[in-house]
Amino acid sequence: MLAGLLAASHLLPLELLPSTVAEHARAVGFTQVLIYLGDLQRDVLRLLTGRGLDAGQDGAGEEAELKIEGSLAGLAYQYGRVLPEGPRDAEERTWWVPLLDGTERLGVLRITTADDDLRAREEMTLLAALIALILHSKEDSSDALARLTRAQPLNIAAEMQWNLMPPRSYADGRVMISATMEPAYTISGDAYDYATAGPFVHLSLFDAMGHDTAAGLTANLAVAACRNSRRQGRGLAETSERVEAALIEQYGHSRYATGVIAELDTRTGLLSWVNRGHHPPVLMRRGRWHSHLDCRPTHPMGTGLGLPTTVCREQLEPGDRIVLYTDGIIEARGADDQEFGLERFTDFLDRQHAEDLPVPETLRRLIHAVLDHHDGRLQDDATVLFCEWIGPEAAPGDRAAQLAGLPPEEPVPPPHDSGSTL
Amino acid sequence: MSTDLTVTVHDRDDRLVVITAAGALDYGTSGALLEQAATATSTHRSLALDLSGITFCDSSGLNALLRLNRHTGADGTALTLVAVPDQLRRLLRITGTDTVLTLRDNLTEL
Repeated sequence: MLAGLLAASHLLPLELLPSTVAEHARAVGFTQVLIYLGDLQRDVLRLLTGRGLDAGQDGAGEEAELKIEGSLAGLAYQYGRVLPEGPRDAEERTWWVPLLDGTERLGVLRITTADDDLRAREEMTLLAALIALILHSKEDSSDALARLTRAQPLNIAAEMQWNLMPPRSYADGRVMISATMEPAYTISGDAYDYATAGPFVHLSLFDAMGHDTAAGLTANLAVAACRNSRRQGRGLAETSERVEAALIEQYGHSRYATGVIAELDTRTGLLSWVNRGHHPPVLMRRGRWHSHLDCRPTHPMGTGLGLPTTVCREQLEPGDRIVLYTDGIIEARGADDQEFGLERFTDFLDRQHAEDLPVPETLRRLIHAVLDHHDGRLQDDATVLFCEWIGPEAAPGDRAAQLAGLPPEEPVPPPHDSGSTL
Repeated sequence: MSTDLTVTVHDRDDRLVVITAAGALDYGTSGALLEQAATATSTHRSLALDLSGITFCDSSGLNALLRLNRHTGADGTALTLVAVPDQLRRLLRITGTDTVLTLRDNLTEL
């Protein structure tokens, strides 16, 4: 099944993916396979039919959209588990299988089959892995995929930023990185970036001033200048100065971006960073204790105020979490004009840590809490970039799988409080 | 949240002009402050910005203060920020700009 699908994938337009998958899956006893994809805000899962300009038309009687909150499909998505639906003695059952590109949560598969043995379950997760890879390979050349996963129109800055930034989740044996950004459809000047090179993990977060398309352009320029500099082997201080120079060259001191540019040496756990006029990173240790890594900030990039650039350092312990965030997270004001606040933000992360949720799910819930606090409308971008240092070994381990929410090999029941009927 | 900014200009003497800004200093309002300040500094050597009535300041507001500081620095006018509220003071500290701008607690210090 997999070999045939893989061979077909080179010349496969996205529109033919659902029918081609169905055809190959029948060979292993899967009578139906439906592909559901998460929308940009991770509120709903939408059926990929392959028909229409958004490849989501004419679902032949199947549900076109499922809410992530309160559905079994959503539970499989949130907790990263393979979940069966329907009575155990039924002739055929349907299974919800998480669809992960690396650790980026794309959606879920709904697989119908009479088989319930280990081999069938293994085939399910392998099929999901391959479909995720194929989806990823078609993503950059398919407008249909973009249309299907957008519940509302993007503004121009959001169109730029979502195409600029790396996926919202990444994990290997050394680190788990996850990010979230709202308002997802109407971004202005926020952008995050991360990348690995040898034992080093780069992390950066930018907040460009203003709430217009120019803010988005400023953020794009900052990220591009930062990447360009670090890929040439420049250090943190020089990289931040190059970003500043690029902004001044374009905008002549009329626009600036604050930000944190950081690097983690995963061999030793030494975190180094430059703070350019931004909120200090938060360090969380063992889910009980956190501190703000205060270190003399340098002026925002683009203001040219000439303050010296300080490279700050902190020794991490395995399991430590670094959280970078922007104004919108803590300054989002509710109807009572109260800020969401730094304390509520760190309390939320501590509480979710205790529940042992996958990190991407923690951040999805955090951003929904921030949105709810503000009645669904944010006045400023709210972004979080999260990184846990697991340890020095790059080879994938159980901890990374658990943090990222990869399905375990043996299906396990959903949590007791889920309210689902199995 | 208010999107209004009230700007009043008071010539204290030939040397010093005091501009009092009250309300939200943000993308929509910072242009008005810059305009008034530019006019005032063309006639006075010293400008005090009384910010005690500022209820909110965002990145555009901070940018306006930095541009004003650059402008006054270039033509030799002394700029002082007076009675900076906590939220704005926090913003200045986070961005490191408190070391570049001159801050005073009240006007009598001038």
